[in-house]
Amino acid sequence: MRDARPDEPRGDALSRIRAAIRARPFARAALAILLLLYSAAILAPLIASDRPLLVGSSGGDPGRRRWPLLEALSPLEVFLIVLWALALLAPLWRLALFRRPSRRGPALAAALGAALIAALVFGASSRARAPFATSDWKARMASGEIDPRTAVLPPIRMGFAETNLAEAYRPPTWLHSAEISEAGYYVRGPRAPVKDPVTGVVPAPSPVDVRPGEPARNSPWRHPLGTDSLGRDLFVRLIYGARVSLSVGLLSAAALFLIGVLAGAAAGYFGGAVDLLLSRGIEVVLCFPAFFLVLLVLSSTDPDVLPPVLSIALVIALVGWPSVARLVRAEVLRLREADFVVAARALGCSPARTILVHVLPNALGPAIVAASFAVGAGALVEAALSYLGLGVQHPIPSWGSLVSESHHAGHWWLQLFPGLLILLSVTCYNLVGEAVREALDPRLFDHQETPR
Amino acid sequence: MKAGSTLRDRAPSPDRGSRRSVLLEVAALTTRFEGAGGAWAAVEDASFRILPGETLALLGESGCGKTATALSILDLLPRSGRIVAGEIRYRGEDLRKLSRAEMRAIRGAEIGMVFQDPLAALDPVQSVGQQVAEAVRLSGNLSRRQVRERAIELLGKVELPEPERIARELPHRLSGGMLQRVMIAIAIARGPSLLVADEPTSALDTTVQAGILDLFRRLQAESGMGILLITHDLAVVAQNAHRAEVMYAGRIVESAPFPDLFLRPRHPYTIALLRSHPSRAARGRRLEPIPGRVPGPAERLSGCRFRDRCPIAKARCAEVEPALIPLSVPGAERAVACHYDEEAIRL
Repeated sequence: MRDARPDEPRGDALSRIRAAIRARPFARAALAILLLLYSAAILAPLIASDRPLLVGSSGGDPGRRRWPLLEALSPLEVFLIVLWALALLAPLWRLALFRRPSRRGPALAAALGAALIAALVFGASSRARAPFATSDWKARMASGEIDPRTAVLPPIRMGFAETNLAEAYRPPTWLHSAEISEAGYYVRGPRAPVKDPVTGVVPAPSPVDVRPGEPARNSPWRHPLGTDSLGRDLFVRLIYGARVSLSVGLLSAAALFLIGVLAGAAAGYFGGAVDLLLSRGIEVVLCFPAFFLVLLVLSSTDPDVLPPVLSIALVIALVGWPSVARLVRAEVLRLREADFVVAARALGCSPARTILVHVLPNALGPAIVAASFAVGAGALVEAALSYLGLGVQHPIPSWGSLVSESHHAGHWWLQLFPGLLILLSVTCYNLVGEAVREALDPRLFDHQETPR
Repeated sequence: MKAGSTLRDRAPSPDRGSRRSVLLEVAALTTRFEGAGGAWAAVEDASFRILPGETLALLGESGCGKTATALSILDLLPRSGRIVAGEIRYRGEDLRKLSRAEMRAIRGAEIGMVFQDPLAALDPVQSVGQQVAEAVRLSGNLSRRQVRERAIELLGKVELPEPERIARELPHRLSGGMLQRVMIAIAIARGPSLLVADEPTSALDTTVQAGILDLFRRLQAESGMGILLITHDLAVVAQNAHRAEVMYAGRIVESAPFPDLFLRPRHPYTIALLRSHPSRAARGRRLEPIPGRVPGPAERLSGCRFRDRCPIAKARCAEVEPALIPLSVPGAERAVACHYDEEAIRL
């Protein structure tokens, strides 16, 4: 009579997903890479900036300490950084605060609360902030107004919008072709100075401006991935670009999951007119040529009112929710008259409670699978939009817009590295999504099997 | 199992004379289903009463309308089903006239339900403790700790070993018998006066069945609740029921108190059921399967529905559908729907 085949995955969604990822080396590696990318995106201001982390004394009032880098953070950045740090320390403080490790809810709530409080306190206490682009701190250090020896600098001492025109389109500095002489000429390669055969004029040199804290002119670490048209460091811009590219994927997937689940659950559970209306809506939206709808909406929204990251994510969600809604609707239809749902009603549960507590958690499997693939798809759409110049606004970088920095074949690093990151991240999303699918998709195993 | 073996531990049958104390009265209930194959009546003109402390068995093969009757009482019919006629009086109040919210207040709190397949009837993604706790929480404002303690207490009350540990398990990790005990704990969590048990032991091993039936008897003795016990198994009736209503193809064909049903069955269908029960073979007598099968909704015969399987069917059976006629048996409230029941006794 007992049915459970021991190898059949069972239990709640989270533990099934965890087991599926643990069992697949590729999915594990993909998840590790994604976590690394997300960490870099969250910590970007602390990793790379033209601001010092700490300055011992500023000219006007000696002895006063300032935190130029922290002052430039937004409350959202503080929230994410605190959350990230708490997540990193999770095993430790969970051990300290909760005796039973099985209680995930309170731990998550406490972490979110702590991060939120930190962000609010920070937002309330900080003075007016300069936008996180370029600062005059390096100039003040160079002029001697601030003693560079008292400054604590972040690991990479360049801002994502910090230009250095003498180094425009400089190849990765570990290459021989990137070597620049003290006078400011490329030493070898196609960009070495050539005397004009007619006029005899040699192009004017452009000496490299090495600012305080930066690696030496020809250090291989100066611009490990090269620079763009304004001499901005590509590596730094890729780190900051990850914030846009990763968050658009995640936000759009979360939004389309939410809309899809609500619509699908309502259609499946209430049936009748609600179902008819929503099902026709799903069909209509599915017929839209999604990408052109996105183009239309983006070209007509004001980036000052709605930040491009949000509008892109929202538009992707608005055209993407039907696929999730259809899956949830089908599952809810299947579960609506399942024994345990009838049993919940027999117990006196209200319709809202029945659907939220009993139907939905059991109907989410396919929707979670669809959403996990939607993260990668959303990231790709963002890359395409940014490539077309419809994404985030200058000078904020995203991987897609970095690819379009230059179409010159000689500037291969500008297409290769952002392109590789897009490829890597989407591949990782799909590998993790594949593991999620194997854990949750009812088509791959019969998780509602009932012996009769 | 011998019919007489459990006479002793059964609570005495309540006095059926007093109408005042009737817990549930179903009168002329007709429930129709509509499907691709047209509409049909799953239950037709069914009437019965349950008193507090009484176990009424609804007996019959699969497809006789037993479950439809149970779902009708709780207003839990699937969308394709609808009650078209009759009254369902709970403590004198017609449940059909209640609003949805009022009906919700009856479910669980006044009338609990136990389902046939406990694995299917429990939410697969919640621990059984959570599910018992949900039932407890619905019954009133209790603190988190009180809810937890009460849930554990309930699991202990249905005789589960180590209730603390079992409460943390997901349904698929427990055996069928344990799950059915969990299901019963959920059903009695809110202290209902009536328990509807739909084939509560059919999905279980025989040895486990006996334990569950024992539990029903004990819980009934403690709380004095009425039980509507739906089953196809005469042994279950013999062990627990005070009375039985035998259903065939949507109609009640015989109604009798417990020992009489076994000792003096009147309807040919009841007799056929008794002769086809495996316990008969265990006593060294021939097992006689009933020829044919329960007619589907579209195949129901005019006149007596059992006539194609009935050994004594005559011409009149095809013409006139026999009504459920009360019998004048002293000391027992009995009724039978057969033109020739006197003849059936001699079968």
